[in-house]
Amino acid sequence: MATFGYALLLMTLVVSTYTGSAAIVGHHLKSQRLAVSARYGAFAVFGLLSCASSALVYLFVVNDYSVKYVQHYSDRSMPLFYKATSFWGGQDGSLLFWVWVMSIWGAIAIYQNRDKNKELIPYSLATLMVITVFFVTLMLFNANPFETYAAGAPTDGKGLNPLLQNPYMVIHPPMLYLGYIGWTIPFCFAIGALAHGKLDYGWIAAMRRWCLVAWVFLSVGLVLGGLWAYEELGWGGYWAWDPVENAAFMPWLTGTAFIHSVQVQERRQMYKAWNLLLIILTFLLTLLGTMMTRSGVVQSVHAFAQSNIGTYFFGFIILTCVVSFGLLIYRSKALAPQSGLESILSREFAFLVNNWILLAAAFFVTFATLFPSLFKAVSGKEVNVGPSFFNTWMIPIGLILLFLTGIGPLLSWRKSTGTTIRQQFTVPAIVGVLGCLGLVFGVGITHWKALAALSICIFVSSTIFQEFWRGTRHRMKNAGENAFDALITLVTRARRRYGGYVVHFGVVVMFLGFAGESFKKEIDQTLKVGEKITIGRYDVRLDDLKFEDDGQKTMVTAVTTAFKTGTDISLGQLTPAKWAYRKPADQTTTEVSKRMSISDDLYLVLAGYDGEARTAILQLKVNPLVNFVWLGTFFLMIGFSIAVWPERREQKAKATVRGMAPAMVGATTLALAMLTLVLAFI
Amino acid sequence: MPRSNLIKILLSATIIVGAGGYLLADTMAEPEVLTYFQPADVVIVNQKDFLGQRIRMGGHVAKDSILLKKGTLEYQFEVKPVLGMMKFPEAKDKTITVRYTGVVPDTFKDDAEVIVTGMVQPDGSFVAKELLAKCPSKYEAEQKNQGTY
Repeated sequence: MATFGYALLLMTLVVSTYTGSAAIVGHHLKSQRLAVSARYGAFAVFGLLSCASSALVYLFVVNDYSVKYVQHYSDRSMPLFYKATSFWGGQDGSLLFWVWVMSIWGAIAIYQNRDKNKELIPYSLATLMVITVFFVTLMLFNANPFETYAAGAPTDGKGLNPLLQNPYMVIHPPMLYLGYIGWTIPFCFAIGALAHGKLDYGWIAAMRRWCLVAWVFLSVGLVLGGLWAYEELGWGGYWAWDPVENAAFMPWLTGTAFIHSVQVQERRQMYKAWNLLLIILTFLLTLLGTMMTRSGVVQSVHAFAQSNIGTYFFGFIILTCVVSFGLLIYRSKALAPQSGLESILSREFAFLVNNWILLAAAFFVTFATLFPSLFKAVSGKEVNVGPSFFNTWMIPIGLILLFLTGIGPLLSWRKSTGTTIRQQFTVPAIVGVLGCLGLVFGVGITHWKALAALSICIFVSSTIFQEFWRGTRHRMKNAGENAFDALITLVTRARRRYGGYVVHFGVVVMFLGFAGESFKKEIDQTLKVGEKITIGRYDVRLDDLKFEDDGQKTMVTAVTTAFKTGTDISLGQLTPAKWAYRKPADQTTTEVSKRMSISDDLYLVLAGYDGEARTAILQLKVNPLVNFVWLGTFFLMIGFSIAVWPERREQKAKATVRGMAPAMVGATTLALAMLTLVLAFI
Repeated sequence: MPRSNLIKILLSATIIVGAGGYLLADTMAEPEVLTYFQPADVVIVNQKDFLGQRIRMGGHVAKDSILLKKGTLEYQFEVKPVLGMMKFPEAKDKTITVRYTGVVPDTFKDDAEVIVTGMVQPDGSFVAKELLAKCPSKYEAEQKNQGTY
């Protein structure tokens, strides 16, 4: 089976090389047959990689420990579910997962564009295939997931790190990868447009929804990573500016800039070169991020160990830079803007500022993440850049962006007149200022960062509500509809606009959660069974210390009850624990226990215990507003769904086609997976 | 682009760069932002040079050296240099005592790779305010294709 998997990878290499060449040769010879065969080549690559991925999953499921990768990341005692998902637990498998996901996206993109954007396809497809060849070559010669032990294969595996045996860890990597890799397709189309010279809005129109899809997957992936850290790592936070986190955050920043600035190109035919630059940067940052985390260039607590794939990535990044920037310069004449900026009180200028700041943020995060490595190269000394360094910079940047979220959409294109500005901003500005005063004198908040964040949140929310309110009122008057109908029609008539507002609202809600960070409380306390301690609005009593064993692990649990401060009103039981797994030997995990509520989380960690003295050392934290971060993500997803949902006329015409694409992909994947299983048993 | 707009854009750019410069100066003034990293062997050999200086020290936890004062979170353990990465071979069998009070990560145990942030004390021990640990067996353990370069 392992040999079969390896053979599949070899075949992928051959087919993708052919596909790329056929696409370009077919284009130049104007051969319809070659062009069609190249298109099918893209599907074949997807098929082959699906088989290879199924083969690897299969090897995990049947406990084939003669395969090094399987032996490293699983063992017999693991549940079937986690065995299958160990697929992306390590470096070699995650490369296969990467290229497989890319082939899925590629196949969908080629299928969607089979009848349109004919000029763009050849070079886009060729670019996609070059990237595929790069990854497959990397696996074949450097990080082969199907590598086997020459002799004396172990009978059991080393096991997957228990920290990764968590439902969030199962869906977090796929989500993140879908988003991360999703940016590859717009990049390929951008290169396709540059190479062909068809530089109008076409390639962006083809990719607009794609970018939103990639963006939302990346956003959700990032948040799920935070959720995992919050649930599993036990330090009570969700973001630590670790290089691995930053690697995924950098393309998110440039990608966010891109999805804003393409709207300017759509409306005003400006920023053409800028948009191309942004998408190229986004793709480069995904490569850079992968290189950083996979090569040991950057020190990180949860980076993969050093390997020399960094050199290959570095070479590929240089190649990408040369080709993309070369093409940009070559086409620079055609990229000149057709209209100029008319006023700084215009939406296009707000977008420009938004882009600058997002780009500055991306540059800063990249710089700060790479700083220790650069510093070492220059001075020979090793230095560390702590989270406080990131926070000092990113908090103001984040607040400015949040503020722009309120300003930008309310400005008119071209030029806003004094009247429109008064009309648009009077109410939100008053609400914002009143809210700020209320927070200072009513609630008593003096922490300036939190105060700024919360005040801006109030301001931006009021701009969004004002938009919905005015739109609905307008429809109620003009079309005589009731409020609910008016709201629904309003949103469905301009999904992109109102979907965008909902996404912005999601961001506002997330910022509430970030602001809550300023008010967190933390206590470390040794408690005897029966003793109580007060933190925030809670009293916590240690009721019992339990010692158990379930065969896979030994468990120590502190049974505690939370009360409303100063009363006997129980708010429920919390059971923080420490688990010691038998495999991998001596691996311990801290099992956090928390009581969630909309205003705060009570978060308990069992830091230590003494069985004889019946004492437990508890780390107690109160994290105010933290759940707004997850809630905001939910709004973000809703807004995204509204924005990308096909418009009604389009929907009718293409309903069948749209339904078919995913169905076809699903059916093919399933069929190939079945085939692999059948082959495995022969 | 009309000239007046260019000026406005340049003006805003100046404000942004100025704000950035201020932040940079602000963060650089904070001692906790940048901390030098030193391998354990360097600290062991040149202890005196690091007195009163906040550093990050990296090494391995010596086997069976972790002591925990009962009923507290006061840890004391020995850190030894990372073999194969030493600048001072004479530190090979030496260790440095590290004291740390607080919650330790799950990965903190014998032989784990640790990075401790804190200061060397006059008595030659190291008092850590922060402790990071990475279990060596957890991730890709061996380096593949070693010695290709």
